[in-house]
Amino acid sequence: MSYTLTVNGRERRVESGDPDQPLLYVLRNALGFTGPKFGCGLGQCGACTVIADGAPIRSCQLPISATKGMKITTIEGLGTAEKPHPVQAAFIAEAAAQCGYCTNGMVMTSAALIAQNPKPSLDEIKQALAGNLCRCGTHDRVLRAVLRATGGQKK
Amino acid sequence: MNAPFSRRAFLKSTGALVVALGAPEAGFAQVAGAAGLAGRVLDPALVDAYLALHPDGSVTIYCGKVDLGTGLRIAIPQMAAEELGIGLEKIRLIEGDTALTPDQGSTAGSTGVPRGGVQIRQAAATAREALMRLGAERLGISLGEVEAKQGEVRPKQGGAGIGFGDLIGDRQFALKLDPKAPLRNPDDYILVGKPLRRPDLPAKVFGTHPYIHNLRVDGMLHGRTVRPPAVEARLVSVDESSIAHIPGAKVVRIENFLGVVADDEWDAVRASRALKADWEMRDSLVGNEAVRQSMRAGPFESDETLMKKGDAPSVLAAAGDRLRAEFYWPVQTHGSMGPSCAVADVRDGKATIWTASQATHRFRFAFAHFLGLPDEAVRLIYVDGAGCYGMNGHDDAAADAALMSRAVGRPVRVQWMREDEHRFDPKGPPQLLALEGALGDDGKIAAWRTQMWIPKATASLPNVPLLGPQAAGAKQPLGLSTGLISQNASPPYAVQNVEVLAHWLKDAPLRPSNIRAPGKIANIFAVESFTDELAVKAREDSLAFRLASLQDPRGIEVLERAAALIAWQPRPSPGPGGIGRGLAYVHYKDSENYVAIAMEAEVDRETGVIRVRRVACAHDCGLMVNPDGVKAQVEGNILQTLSRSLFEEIKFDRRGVTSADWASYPILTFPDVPELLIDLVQRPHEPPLGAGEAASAPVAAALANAVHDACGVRLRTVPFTRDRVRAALAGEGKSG
Amino acid sequence: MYAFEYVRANSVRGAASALAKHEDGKILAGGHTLLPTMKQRLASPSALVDLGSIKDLAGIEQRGRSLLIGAMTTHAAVAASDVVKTSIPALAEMAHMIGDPAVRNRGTIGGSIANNDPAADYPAACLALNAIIVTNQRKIPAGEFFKGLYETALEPGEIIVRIAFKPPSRAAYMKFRNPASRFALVGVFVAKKGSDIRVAVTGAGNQGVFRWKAAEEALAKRFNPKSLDGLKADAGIMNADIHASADYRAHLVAVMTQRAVAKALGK
Repeated sequence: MSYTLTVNGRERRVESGDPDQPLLYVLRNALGFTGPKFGCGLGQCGACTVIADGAPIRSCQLPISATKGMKITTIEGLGTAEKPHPVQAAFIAEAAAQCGYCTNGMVMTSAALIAQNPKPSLDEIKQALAGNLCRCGTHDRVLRAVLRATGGQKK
Repeated sequence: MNAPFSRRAFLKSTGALVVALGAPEAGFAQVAGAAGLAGRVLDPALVDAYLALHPDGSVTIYCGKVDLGTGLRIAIPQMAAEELGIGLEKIRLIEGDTALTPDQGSTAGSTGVPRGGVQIRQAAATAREALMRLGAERLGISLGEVEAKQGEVRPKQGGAGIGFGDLIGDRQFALKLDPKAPLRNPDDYILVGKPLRRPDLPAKVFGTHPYIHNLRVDGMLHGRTVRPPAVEARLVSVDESSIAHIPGAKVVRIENFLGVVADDEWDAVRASRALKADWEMRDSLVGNEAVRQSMRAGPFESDETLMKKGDAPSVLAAAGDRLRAEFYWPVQTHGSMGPSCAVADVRDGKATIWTASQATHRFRFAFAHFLGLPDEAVRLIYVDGAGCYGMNGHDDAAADAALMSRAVGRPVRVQWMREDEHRFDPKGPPQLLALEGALGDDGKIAAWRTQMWIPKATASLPNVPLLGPQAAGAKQPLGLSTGLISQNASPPYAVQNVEVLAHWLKDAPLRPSNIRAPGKIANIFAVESFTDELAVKAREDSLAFRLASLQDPRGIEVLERAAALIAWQPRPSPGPGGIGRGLAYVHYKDSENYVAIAMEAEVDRETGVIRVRRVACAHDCGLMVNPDGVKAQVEGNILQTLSRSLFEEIKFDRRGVTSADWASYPILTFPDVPELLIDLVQRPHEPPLGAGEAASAPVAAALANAVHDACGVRLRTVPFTRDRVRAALAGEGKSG
Repeated sequence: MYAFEYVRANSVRGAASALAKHEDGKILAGGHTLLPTMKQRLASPSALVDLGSIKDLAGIEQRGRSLLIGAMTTHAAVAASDVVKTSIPALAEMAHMIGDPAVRNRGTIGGSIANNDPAADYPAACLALNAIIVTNQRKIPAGEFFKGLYETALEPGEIIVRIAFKPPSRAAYMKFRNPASRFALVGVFVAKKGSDIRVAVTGAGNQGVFRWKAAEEALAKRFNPKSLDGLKADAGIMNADIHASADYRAHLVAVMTQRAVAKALGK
């Protein structure tokens, strides 16, 4: 069966033999957007986060059949080296990644947060990122980066 | 001297991961292809093994160690560029490719900079001396009159120099590494000591970084391993028709090894789930509930006295009121965020394995062995994976891919699922410690005895035995791999009578491997908690108690600096309630880093929730090549070990691991993250000691000490779960 | 996961007839619970009926004294709604405590209630606030709706349309989270409406959400945390799993109830 969805501003048509194929696999394999990562496939870690119609979602949980008409933004569509999103610029400035595997989810969740709440408090940022796991222990840098992106300062 | 190959040819001909530090963004060239590597020098004794200078003035560094997210990718080029006298933008780094890089040992034990980097620095120094000789000759002046700076050899007095590229350009140095080649004076460092930005950051933040998980090679199939429901289960039968409805899906069965391959990744996942297989189960495990008792019971390999000073048993026996306490650290997983992944191409008597292994060189021999190929026919190419903190499942996934590729005659990419990673990565082994101590009349520690019950690492075991080959009936050396888990088991203070005994266990409850700061976290948890217990008994402030028996000035300095970060006020513990504070200190492996951690924590007495407010760390790892890289490692060590201390224990029953995801194996989340205060000591004239592990060692003890200071309860069993804390509070005075 | 038919319904009626065609069809109302469950092979429906396209199923409205929330309203919408914040602020706060942003953006009130996960938050709110669950067939009081673990009074083909709440005079929700999943290890919703006091507990019970009657009686005498001093919840009806023992959950129920009462009183 074929499905049509909009990814990073471009309408894309994909074939899938299984309506239940999670969006993540479609993005990574059929469409070549490897920014979103497979971390758990269970909606527990946040590595696969993309923005759908303005809100962060877990792409490992969304079947391709449920994406009809959705506007998906992956990290590749959020910003580029030439035109970084403020959150991306701040992550680089704060060196907020070690292995970087969770970084996609951190960046996408934070970008969605500040779109809704341009001046989040430190606690609001922590709550927004509560479902994004990191194993290297970059949390403090991520918090600093999000504050930097919003013009705030971590003391 | 000859010119074995040009850089362009090399880029075309290899599948190496190449980092160009000169590019505006991390420029990774990933080119898959056949190996055409004649002429590469790999002998670690030779300069050419580590670096090549090219006619355009650029330099390629060949590094046997790899960057696991830890920042070697900037630190090692900093060291090499500094020593050569060239800009960082001229450096390219190749990591961990067995066909291109010398074997510098595995990237473990914080050895990346102290051994890998230092070796490369010496190679660069040797090369620079050679370049200066060549330059002096060409300039017609004496060696004493030239210097190597900004990529050229030039007269010290000024005037035109000759670029490195012109002097050597792609020819080999054909020199032995000269251990006496003079190093630059740290006072003149231009690059080393600067917090320079890691080259891989932008690509990681823009989602374009080339992880192993993204690698696709021509003709590749996707594979999934179907692991047994019980450890060591025997595969009785497989119903291949159960996946007949999935296009292209195919079963790979080799004795008890079971996998599926398909053209499409999701089809491979679906097939692995749909495949019906009949397993003969085994109840081969002890179960997590019984681990502690089983460690006391044995069977034992041997008892070993690791330290004997004075006569601890007699002094303890004579002491009126000696303290005794038992500490337990559970089995834990590496918990990499991304499940292990690898791509293998095993065909025509050759094997190419793309892997995120920490130890490509070591595993090359293991792969050759179980594939039945000569060593020269096997090439392992390092590609970044999700962070690992010791040997996780990377090498198992690579072995799975190799077995499947050989079976189907095409390249196969294997990515583990989350449950594979949680259930089957090799685990950090459990540790049980019993401590005894007594105070002297002077209020200082008079005698100390540590007994440890720990699994014995198998002598000269080359690597962690791999699951796939084992299931497939392939021969491989078997045994336990644990890392050096008996270190740091004695007090780092002046004590006259000390005895440290290891009761070496024959077995570990689950396949073990080294996990960050192997053993040292649990040992320091016990040693530094117990030091606090003795300080409490002496009614002494725990900082003063430590300083009174510490002679090493670098140790004293970090303790004082960590305490100062949280404005430590001298008083005995426990405190008046509310916010508690605790300290812990390590002289890592009794010979490396000096780290002190001071921590503040509150305990909700009704629920047992521990809230860590602030963590302060003073850290001395000698020369810091890249202070921001060190800081990142210190932060990571602290937060990861807080997670391990507060939340983490692998649960398993008689058949296998039941903590199979992040819900059943919780880790630290953002709302739990405390404020971090980090004070790094820079010692330019000391050797670099690395920063990958040491700061994790004092974390659990500092936390336990802070909890005790806050509420009077002593926690001796990890993790400090909320119900455990609550139970300890309910039975006040008893320990948790 | 197994193969199943996917049906995108455009109306409640269409959804009901699609469900009628498939014996063990399931409703997809966001998918944040059902899909992981299916992946772990705990559920294998023959059809998934997606309600995501039915426009009038989502929405929030104050009608007279009733707060009406459409079944497909997301947790994020409830949390952000000024109507909810004015009418029953504790409900908006509770919605904000669910999961993380990704979960709140996909998860819906109807999905949460229909699934009746023993650790979900909404069942406690519905029970404590004595909500009416309105389906395409009838109106069911919350007290009769939740029937045990993952079980409800819903009949095959019955679809939740909206939930009707009557604002209480005082209410508060206290949640003790599972550190990993952010589900409630114990969640207590306390509501006072005149002399009617309800204490609904989620996360703890071995049969799902329940009312803690002993606490309600104690609070009826005096609505104050002190009224609960010494009162213990029955560990015999508590769930025990790798996250917490039954004793610890029973203990937390009492602690969280006291804290919820204090919060309801603005303390």
